[in-house]
Amino acid sequence: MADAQPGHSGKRLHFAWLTFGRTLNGAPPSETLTLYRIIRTNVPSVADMRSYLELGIPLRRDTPEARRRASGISLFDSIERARLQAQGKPWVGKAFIAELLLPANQFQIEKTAGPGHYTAWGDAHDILDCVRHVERA
Amino acid sequence: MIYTLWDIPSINLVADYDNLRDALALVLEGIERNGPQDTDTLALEVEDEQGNVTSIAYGQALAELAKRELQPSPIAG
Repeated sequence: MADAQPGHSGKRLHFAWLTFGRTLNGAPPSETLTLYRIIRTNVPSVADMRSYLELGIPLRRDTPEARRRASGISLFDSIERARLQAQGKPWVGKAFIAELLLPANQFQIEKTAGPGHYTAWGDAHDILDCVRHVERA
Repeated sequence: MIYTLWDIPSINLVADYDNLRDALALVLEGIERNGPQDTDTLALEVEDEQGNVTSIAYGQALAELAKRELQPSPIAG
């Protein structure tokens, strides 16, 4: 899937909707959000789309908010921001960036944490199905 | 500036703070709760307003940083 670029008609993220902690589930059913995920290979797998709670990583502080965040995955609002993030993570190694076109009515997506960071909740298989393009970070 | 803790295996954000001390406090909590191997899967970074990310420490080095910064050192003698 390296550098594959299938044609798609997904719309870019509508920033006007997004405020901190606001869910996008109320978006029109036809809306598709484009977000970017850092992965380790050029062939994305289900494992790349799992939360760390799914992977069995223990919480450091067991609060409802921590548990909720731990059950989502991290995404970024632009490939440039994802690239900057990957470059600041020496522990990732040779990173790739997957572009995901996420139907807003299928996944819960919120603006969380720092600039351009989003959290998405959903089944890892379904999220994997939304990958449309992969390139080197 | 924002200090972020990341889960290394999944590349997912664990927590974010506006100061280093709070981030390191969570690191120590993890060690106390889950054992000394807890930081094997944890990385600390700082991000500036332009989105530039700098790695501070991860793995055992992160555990040592947290202990050095937050735990009182024994008085010699």
